[in-house]
Amino acid sequence: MDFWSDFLYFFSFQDTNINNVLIGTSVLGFTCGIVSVLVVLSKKALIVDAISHAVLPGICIGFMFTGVKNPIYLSIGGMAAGAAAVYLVDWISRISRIKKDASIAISLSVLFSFGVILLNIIQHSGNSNQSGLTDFLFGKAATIIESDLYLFLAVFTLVIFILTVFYQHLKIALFDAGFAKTIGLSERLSQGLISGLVIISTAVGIQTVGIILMSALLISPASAALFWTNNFKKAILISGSFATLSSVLGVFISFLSADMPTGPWIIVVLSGFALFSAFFSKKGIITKKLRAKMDDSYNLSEKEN
Amino acid sequence: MFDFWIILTACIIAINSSLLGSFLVLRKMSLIGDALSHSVLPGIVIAFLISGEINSFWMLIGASVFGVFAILIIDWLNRFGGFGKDSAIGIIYTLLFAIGIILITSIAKNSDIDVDCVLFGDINTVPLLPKILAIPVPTFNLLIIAVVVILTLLLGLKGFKISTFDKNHAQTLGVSITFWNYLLLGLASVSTVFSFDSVGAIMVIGLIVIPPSFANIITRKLSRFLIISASFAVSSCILGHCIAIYLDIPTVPTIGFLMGLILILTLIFQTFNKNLQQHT
Amino acid sequence: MIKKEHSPILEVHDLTVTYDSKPALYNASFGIPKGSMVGLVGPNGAGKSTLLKALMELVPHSNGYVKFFNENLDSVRKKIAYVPQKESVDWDFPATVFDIVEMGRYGNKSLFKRLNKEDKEIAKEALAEVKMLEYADRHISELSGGQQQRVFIARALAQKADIYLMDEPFAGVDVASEKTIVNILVQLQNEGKTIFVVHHNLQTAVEYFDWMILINKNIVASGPTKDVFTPELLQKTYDGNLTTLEQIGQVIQNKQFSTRKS
Repeated sequence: MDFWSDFLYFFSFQDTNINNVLIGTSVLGFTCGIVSVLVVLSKKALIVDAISHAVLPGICIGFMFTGVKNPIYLSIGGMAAGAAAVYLVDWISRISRIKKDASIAISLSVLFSFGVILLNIIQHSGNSNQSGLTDFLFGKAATIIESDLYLFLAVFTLVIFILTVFYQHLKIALFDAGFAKTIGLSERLSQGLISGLVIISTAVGIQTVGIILMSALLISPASAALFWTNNFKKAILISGSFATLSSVLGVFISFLSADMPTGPWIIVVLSGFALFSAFFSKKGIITKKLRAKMDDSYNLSEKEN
Repeated sequence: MFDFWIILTACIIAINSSLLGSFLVLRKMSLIGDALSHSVLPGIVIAFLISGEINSFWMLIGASVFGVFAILIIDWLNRFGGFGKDSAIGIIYTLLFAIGIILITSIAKNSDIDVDCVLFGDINTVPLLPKILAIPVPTFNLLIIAVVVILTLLLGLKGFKISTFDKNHAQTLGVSITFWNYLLLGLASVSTVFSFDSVGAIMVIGLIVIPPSFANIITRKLSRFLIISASFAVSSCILGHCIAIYLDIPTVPTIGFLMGLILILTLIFQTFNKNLQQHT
Repeated sequence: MIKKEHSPILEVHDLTVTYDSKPALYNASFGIPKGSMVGLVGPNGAGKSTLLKALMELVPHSNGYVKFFNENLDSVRKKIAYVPQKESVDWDFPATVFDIVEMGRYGNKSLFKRLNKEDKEIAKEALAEVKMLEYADRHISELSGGQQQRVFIARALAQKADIYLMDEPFAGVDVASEKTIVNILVQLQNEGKTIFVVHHNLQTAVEYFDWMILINKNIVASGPTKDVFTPELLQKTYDGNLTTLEQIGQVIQNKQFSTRKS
């Protein structure tokens, strides 16, 4: 009975605090879900990891300059650091024989280490505002307030805007980079756009799930969605829906029990969708096996006749 | 003596990770370190819940099991599940890490396992821990692993070399690629687990990737590659700890940052030199 | 036309290989005599490399068997050397030319044992034979395509095998390197070794090989070059592909010309 009364309370949307968290995580979830399709199709899955870890020093520097925990300043710092990470990964693998995977891991650990050192300096500086900066490591969904929502909505609008304006550009670049080049579309522009969208959504997305789990929010939704459709537009919608649904469920689970963290639950639900899709979608492993078995038995009965 | 144990522990971890990392980097598997260092978390927590002790032998077993499990499942999803390799790594390690965090904050919340420590480790407490033969337990364990790692690499150098350089040729000589692959991943996962509670997840990634990458831009001979990789890691640890004490900042991230800084400066120096040579 | 060989050094029976349930090679059956220089010829995508890989069990067999010296591959591995296409190699691996040739000796004993003086001597000789000794300390990525190919042939020579399988050893190779390689192959044949080469240039194929196998998903013909290299069989192999047919016509003309001359 307890569960159902909690359920009703939660989904009747009467608690403003819960609503803020719910709207905030859902908007961010949908934003990241959309960008996720670009990430997976452009095979940038692991650079996301470098970007999200790099956001930490950016946030720290943003805080050190302003001395306040204003999400806008912190996000700007985070975006700058994310851009630095993308550049670093690119630079290392371009000028040396170090491979891309290694340059991602190098950038990730260097920038994150730098962030931890800065975090330590801030903590020892005695600025009382600093408490809560470590929340960025694992997300702070439960503390989303109304003013945060404006930032999230602004980012959401920006992402949708860029996606609509450059829709065909991105679609061709993702589908056939060689063809895109021959018809004169700039590869730099499309790659830059994708990186830019990843950086923007990472800098705000870490507020729900945190730095470490951020890459899941930009990999899993599209990985799941691409099992269900081959259509670019549909993939974007399905991916966004998976991420939103996971956010709602994650918030609900952490509402049920005070001990349950929101961010990690969002990720667990999301990974659940991805694995479920891998097994049971029409392109899934189990579905394929079943179909092969049915075909076999069909062939057999045909032969008997 | 206090700093001695810290530096010694860091150096042993540095040697293990940089040597195994050399082959991981050459096989373009650098990000396996990333996956491993995060995936072991639920194993550590579950083993703690069962045994009720921190730093216990069981914790390490639990973590190793999860490390190997993560590698197997990533490999499987990549081969049969229709995921790209990058996506498979990204999905599995975040899932396992998320489960670990959930376990820590809900069921194991009264334990001493703390989420920050998972990322940065707690190398400064090493000298305070119980001792075996006058050596702190983690250092002692790591020493044993170092012996195993170095012996395996010395004896199996040819196997690692040939299975990395040319898989087809190795197979035609009757060399099992799978065996050498899992031997490397198994060692890497045990070494990561044992390093985990001293230096944390992020530092393990750094030690696996940065020293070999440094060696890679310096030399093109395998024996020198391994020696440079290990000595780079060790000297960074010693220097990093001294800088950390001097500036009063934490040791572990200082080492990570220092290694990256040296690597990046070397790269800048190299390109600068190359340009200079081209102009003259 | 598939010539039966009574005591073949390599025997292939009903070999079928499929990739993702699409057949790449059907029911290949043939045998080759000891000491011959065999050319495996066919159009692109005909399954030439697949056949070679299947011989070395690098790709799984769906059906059929392969026998070397009348035995399974595993018991005679040491007697067989394989030169893969260059793609299978990691070009950034920190290994010198000498390191690579040395790897040819790895198959001869347990990987856990060290190489001895004799092994090093053999590797050196092999490198000298392909005229690459002066490059021993270079990194492979610093060599030209032809030089790289010579290094891999040296690695195979260091294996001291009886059968040599080579996948397109002349692809992307300069004239000088091609000559060196051909000389080595002739020398190997004179020593009584058997050589099996995937080749795509019809014009040179006639010159180089005394035994030829024509392949297009299945074996079209296998036998001495003079019996196999006929317009009918070549047309059958190349499916009436025009440009190739023209080439064939030319080659056959040249061949008749040269036979008349001699």
